Amino acid sequence: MNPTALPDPPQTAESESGSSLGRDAWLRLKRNRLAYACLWSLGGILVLCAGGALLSLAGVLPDPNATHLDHILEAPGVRYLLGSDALGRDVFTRILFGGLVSIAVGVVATLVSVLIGVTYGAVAGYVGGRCDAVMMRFVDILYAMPFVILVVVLMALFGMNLFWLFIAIGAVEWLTMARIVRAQVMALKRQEFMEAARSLGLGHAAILFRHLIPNCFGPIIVYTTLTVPSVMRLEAVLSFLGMGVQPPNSSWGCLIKEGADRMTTSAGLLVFPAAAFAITLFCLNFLGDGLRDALDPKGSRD
Amino acid sequence: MPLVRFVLDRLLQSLVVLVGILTLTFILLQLAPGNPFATEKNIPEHIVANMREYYGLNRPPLEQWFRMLGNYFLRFDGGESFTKDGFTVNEIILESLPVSLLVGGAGLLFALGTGVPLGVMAAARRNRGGDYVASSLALIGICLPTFVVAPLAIAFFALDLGWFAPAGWEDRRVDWILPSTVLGLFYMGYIARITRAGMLEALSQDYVRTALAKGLSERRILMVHTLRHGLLPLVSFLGPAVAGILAGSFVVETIFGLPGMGLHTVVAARDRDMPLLMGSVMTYGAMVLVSNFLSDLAQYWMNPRMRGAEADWS
Amino acid sequence: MMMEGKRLLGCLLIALLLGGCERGDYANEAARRGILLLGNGSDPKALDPHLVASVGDSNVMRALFEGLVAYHPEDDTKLEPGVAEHWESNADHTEWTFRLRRNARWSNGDPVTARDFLYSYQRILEPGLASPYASMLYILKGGKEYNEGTLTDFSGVGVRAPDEFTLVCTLALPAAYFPQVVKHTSWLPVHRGTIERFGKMTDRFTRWQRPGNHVSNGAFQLRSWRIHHSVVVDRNPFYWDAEKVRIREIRFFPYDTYTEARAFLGNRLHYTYTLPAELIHQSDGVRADWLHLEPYYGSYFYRFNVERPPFNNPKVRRALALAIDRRAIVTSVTRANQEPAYGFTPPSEGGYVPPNLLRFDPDQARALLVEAGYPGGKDFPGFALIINTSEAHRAIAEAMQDMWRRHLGITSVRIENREWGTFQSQVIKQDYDAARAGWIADYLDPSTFLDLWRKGDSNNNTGWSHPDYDRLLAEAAVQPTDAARFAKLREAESILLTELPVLPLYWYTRTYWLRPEVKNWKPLLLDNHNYKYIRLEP
Repeated sequence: MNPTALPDPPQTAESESGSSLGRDAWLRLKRNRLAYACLWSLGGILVLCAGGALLSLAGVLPDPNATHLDHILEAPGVRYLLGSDALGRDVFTRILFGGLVSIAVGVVATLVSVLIGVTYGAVAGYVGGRCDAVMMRFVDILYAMPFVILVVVLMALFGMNLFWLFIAIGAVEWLTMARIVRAQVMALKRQEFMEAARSLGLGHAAILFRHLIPNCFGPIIVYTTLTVPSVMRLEAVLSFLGMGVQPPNSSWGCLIKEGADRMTTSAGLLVFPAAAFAITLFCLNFLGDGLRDALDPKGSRD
Repeated sequence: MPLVRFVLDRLLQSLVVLVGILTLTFILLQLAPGNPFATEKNIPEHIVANMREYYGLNRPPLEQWFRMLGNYFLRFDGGESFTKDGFTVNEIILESLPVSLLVGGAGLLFALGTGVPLGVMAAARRNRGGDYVASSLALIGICLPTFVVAPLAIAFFALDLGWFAPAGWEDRRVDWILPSTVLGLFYMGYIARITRAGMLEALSQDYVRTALAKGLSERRILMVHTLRHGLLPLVSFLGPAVAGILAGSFVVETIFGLPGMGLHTVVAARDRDMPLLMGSVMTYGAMVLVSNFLSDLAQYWMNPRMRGAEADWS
Repeated sequence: MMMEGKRLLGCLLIALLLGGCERGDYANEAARRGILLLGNGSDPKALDPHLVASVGDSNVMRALFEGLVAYHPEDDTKLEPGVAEHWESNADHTEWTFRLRRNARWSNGDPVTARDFLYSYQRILEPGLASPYASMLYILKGGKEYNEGTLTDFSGVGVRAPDEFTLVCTLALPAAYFPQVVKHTSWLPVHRGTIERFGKMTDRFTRWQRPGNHVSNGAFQLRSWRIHHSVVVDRNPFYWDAEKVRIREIRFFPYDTYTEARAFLGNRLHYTYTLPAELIHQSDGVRADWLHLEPYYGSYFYRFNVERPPFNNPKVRRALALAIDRRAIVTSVTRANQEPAYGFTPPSEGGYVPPNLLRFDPDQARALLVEAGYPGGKDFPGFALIINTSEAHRAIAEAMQDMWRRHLGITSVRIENREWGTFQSQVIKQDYDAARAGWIADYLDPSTFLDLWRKGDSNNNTGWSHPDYDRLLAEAAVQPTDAARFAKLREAESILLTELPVLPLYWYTRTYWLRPEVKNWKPLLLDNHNYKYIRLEP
């Protein structure tokens, strides 16, 4: 989401073109005008949500959770910039706060899934053999289970709070990442620099975390960017099931669900949060595609 | 014969995975709090004890697990539902699966029919206007939650235009059109993006450059030479995705009031209807395994280079 | 919008290709053919009157079965002869004799006899059947003991059949309202031959409830049952009053709230099971002419777990209850003409009226909170309101949360959403701080509400009990007249409303859409419609 989030050039002798790879990718991304615009839009959305939340906490904008039962379902206007909801709460600040929650769920749950997926995949790929086979069968098992039952059971077990929402979503989203990283590590393992590293007497952990994983950064970043929107979607589906963020807090998923129920009577309750959600997902997806193009070594031959 | 070995290997693996699914689901359900016999009114404790005895829930977990294993792998019997008295799991699944298969199948066709052309178009016009238009169109289904698209579609096509029923399933040929289109819209986006990426990759291969250099027209290259290679990632994506789309979507089935599998899965998980949930999970698992297997076979057939390689690329 | 255009184009193409056309008024056409299309909220759990427990299930049961006393089409306080032609009791209302009509038939042609009822009452009380509603028959002498297994000989239970067409019930307590009680689903008869053709008396999972096997004695018989699809019943040719039955077929649909509303707007239903608040008050009133808002004998409230601090302090409970503006909740949140609850039991016209002890009084609430040691909500311990998943419950909880914040300065309230299974088991295990609840009367008498808070009642679940309360309920039961009985009950309810182990919010209304083709669908306090009298006029 931020250019500095691109990988630092790996500091190892093996990744010979490391620094130029990152810079090249960045330049290629900049050339992709749409992806670049999406990057800026995402930054803008984040600043807007965070800034609005701060202003609201400071009392400049209304409290998103304060109900005004004598001012319910009002049209957009001076008192309520984007109207009020069924409990007389300010839709505009609810969208800003909800955006923070949705983005946080997207980013944190993705990080959880990346952490699990990368470690799991790298270990499986590096160790190989029977251990790899067993680990990958476990991934197959999880792959072949409907995600809802995992989430339903996890949420029932640990209660529905934001923390467990992150964990539950992260716990179902790491599978593809594990497969991608494993395949990369297996390919890298056969390359010459591995021999060099081993002959230098480096330990397994050092090889794995200092050399193999950094060399997988490209695919990891691309897949991470694409995981964020799918996690945000998942959060919305959970809101539909009533298992999302707990009230009075809200997320875009919750707001959209509330709005979808009232779309025939107060369209604004659906249109505004849905637009915010759609624009964010749109940008994330395009940014992900742009990053893939930029980081794809084959693409560099263009 | 590598193919025969590959098939046998896969079968064995699938069996292991199915046992794993059963075991994991069983463990999760043992851990989950909640009472399958909870109803509107409170039930006295000794009566709950009776129910638990009736369904064998008072047996040691290991014995329950073992019995379930036997029922599934020897008798193909999911037992009796906890919450739908008088129905067996097999009955419920056999009745609801065809609905999900029909809606999902039509949705998949719609998604492929729109997604692949959009993806190819986007790849052919990479980073130009055509790409942006095609990619944006494809993203509609991803960027808007299904529970927004579905009521909108119903409001317009069913309530305003009156072309379709707003809800329900009467086994007539039109009932599946609206839900399957809504369902397909979501997959369309993924299919278009994966096709685009696959095509870009294929277009950058040396042989395509050679062909281009030889002066073949761009269009023919796209169609003939690269499509088969460019669709490989799509085929591997379809492995798990096909099972997902065919096994039914809770959101779509709730909103359209369809008697499908997706609804059963979520409702069973919510009500702690262990036999029914186990039946749905096992059906889903079997479908994932089958469609993964078909996808692997298709890739094997599509990509000659893979035929010599080991079947170890899960 | 681009999206609209795209969708339009895609669907247009498909629609044109297949010629899918959905014109004409489906519901009107169904009415012409004598088919009643009812939204029913969810699938029936079973089609066995001894195994069902929910309101939706009882709607299906009422079409299929008929009890000794049936539901009156216009007034729930009145009694309508069912299988029993008439009935009488002894002077102190402890022994009731029902005279059965001789022409009542099962849907397979067998006569309905007193023996069928005897068999049915034994079945529902059998511990092995584990019927969720067996406790309704605890009113019979020995019923509780038999169900709990301390009495093993059914002849010790207070019911007998001196001849084929006479049934005598001996009660554990005097109950002048007993004929009201026997209308309930748990008192419906089942056909012995059918039950035992498919299993033992106490087998739950037999196939007798399936189409083709099911035998019932009501105005309708089962034709088909498909989960998440519909239950279809059609006319029972052997029903004793068959010529009075006007509709030919009823279809019950299990649609979710919003799906149901859309189905109704698309002319696919005659009646919706419920109606979301936001559709009630649309500016122009979508289908306002078809909207029905009627009183419903039920109470919406929260339980407090009085064994957990701070709810072990009655002052805290009272402060929380007084800080809720019930009027604002019903006018702005639920918006269906619900009555703000000033007591727990809903008042009934000409009958029981609860003591008026609850109001919105933030000043007194604050004062009580100071007395309880939490001035201005300072240091008030955090607690959770648990609700089962629903937009409506969530909105009410959010409004309460904000009222407590505003009026009492309590900011530590969490709202926790649970799916039904978890929610219910937490309430039963009393593993909660405060939990949302609703109670719809099983029969038309205040005791269906006040019995809940007796010590040890299986629905109490608050940990609260009060010896005086239990004593007053017991005294009420033996009063000779309703007036005297109600006076005792009022006294008991005053204790309940001073102690407030529960926080009453409002008294229910039934809110639904009904198409004008459906005639004779009258407002009923218990909402138990006798389908025999419903007519369809397209």
